Amino acid sequence: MVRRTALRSAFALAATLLLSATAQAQLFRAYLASDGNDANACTLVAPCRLLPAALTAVADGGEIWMLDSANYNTATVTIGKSVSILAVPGALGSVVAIGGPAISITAAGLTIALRNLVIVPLPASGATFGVYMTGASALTIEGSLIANLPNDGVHVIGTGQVEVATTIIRNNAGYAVWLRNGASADISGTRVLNNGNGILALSTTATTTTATVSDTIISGGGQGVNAETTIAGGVTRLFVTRCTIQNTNAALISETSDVGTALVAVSGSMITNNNYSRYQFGTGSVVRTLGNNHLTDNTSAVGVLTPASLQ
Amino acid sequence: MIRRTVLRSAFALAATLLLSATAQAQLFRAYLASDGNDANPCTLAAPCRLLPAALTAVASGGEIWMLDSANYNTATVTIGKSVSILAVPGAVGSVVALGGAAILITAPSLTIALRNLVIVPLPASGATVGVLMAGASTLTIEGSLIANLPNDGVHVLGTGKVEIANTIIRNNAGYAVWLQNGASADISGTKVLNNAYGILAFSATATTTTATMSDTIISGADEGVFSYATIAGGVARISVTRCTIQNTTSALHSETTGVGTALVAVSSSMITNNNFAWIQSGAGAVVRTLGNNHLTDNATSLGSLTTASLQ
Repeated sequence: MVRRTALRSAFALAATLLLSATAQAQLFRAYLASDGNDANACTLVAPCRLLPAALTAVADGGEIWMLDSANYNTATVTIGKSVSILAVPGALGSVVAIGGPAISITAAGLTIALRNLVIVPLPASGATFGVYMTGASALTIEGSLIANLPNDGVHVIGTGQVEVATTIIRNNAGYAVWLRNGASADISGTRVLNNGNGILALSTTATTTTATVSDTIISGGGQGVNAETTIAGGVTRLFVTRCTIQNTNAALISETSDVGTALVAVSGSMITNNNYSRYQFGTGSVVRTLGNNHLTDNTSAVGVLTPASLQ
Repeated sequence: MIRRTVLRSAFALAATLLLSATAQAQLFRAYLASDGNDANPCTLAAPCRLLPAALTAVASGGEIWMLDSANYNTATVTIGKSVSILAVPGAVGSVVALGGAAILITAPSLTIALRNLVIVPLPASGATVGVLMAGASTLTIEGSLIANLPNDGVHVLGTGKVEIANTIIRNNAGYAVWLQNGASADISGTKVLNNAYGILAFSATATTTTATMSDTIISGADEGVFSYATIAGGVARISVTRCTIQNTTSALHSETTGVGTALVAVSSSMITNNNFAWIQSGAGAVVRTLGNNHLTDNATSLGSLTTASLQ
């Protein structure tokens, strides 16, 4: 700790000078470290140990920095304010799922970012999801790893918005990303590998649920992408571009219970080595191709493929 | 090591508190460090030194963290349980090949991840391949380097499944990736540089061996990608999209001995500066282009190129 102690001393004055404008009860930046203590103030000179303490200490709109490699929770972390939680580059910031999801967001109107985190379950602890969001908040997950969970990696219910960028989601037993009843997702530069299923947009209410997936690999699993609607007035839409979907049971699934609409639209992508290249089923469901996809060497297909022109 | 010694003392209590829920014989996380000792329990406070000790200490489904830059083996590391092995970001986690493979997986049904590792041979030690998987397990290699081996970088026999993401495989004297007799691989965002050979899918039994490659560069080798079937009922298939293959002897090679099926399918890729753009040889061998590739400035080609339409 010699290094960081010196750093902290140097920072003590700087922080006082720099952040005196925000001299308030809560911190713009709250700090966590493996040798921190939750009785501390969560400052750089006196960091806390676990996320709940830092979430209490940090101001709305602030940041939580994990300063070194460690695990930073002992139960589900409920995020109730706008905040960025990040491990500094070079550190592994672990948040484990224990007795539920690793991270839960139930409040609305928040802006939350998770950056450079590793989310895995503690085995046999009753872990469920990686990130669970039911509040109508905006969540960004970037440069992170979400793996091995017994249920979904990211599970969003309601009108929340999620951005997943440059992240690996693998070996989860449920869906990599589950979106339901009004959720909206943008997924880019991400590896979705050997999950139970890939990406789901599901409307069981009269809402519009969408996902846009770019520059992403989906490999293995039952479903690649699935737009599914089960109610009149429900809309699900999945847009896929510059992606590869391989070695799944069904790569492109658009399905309704003969009510509502479901759409999967795909361009610039390779769909190969799947059992079903597409599975279009139910009135109001469409699998649309923009005519520039590499669809070969899949075993079978169900339903029709609807062509549309590039413009 | 002053920094980490302090960190460990602080952690001794924290770890006890944090993970007491898992007070079981084996650890969810086992730790290795350059100053560890295999007589230790492989905890953060008392890390082990080498991978075999950590593999004994860790629970199935757990993780092994390499805490600082060092080499962590003295012989072939046989992985016999589901585990993630990673070096924390900012550390070089070295596993050398000596007297055989660096890493060996012979058991089936495991889920194994290697993350942020560096795998190279100890010269003149009888080293063979980097990672040898003969069991029908699922292996992910991400953000790693596999270099300079006297044989293949990754060698998979049988119905194992391998995901390689964001990895560099270079300067190996064999194939970068060898897949034989039922193996399935997904390779993305990877650089395959100056190996003797690139990617091989080879069926010498009546099995289907596949590789899907996306967003990957193959530069400088005898073979770029090579699908090869030598028996009736054997299928070898490589699908390539958004890749570059340059400066090889033969970029796209599909060959049978007159029996079985071999296929290379390529889209949205640049194939340039090779001797043979393609080699198609033997009944049942196909090199298929989807019509949107940049094939220029190759010296020659052999056999026929089959065209297919984008959809």
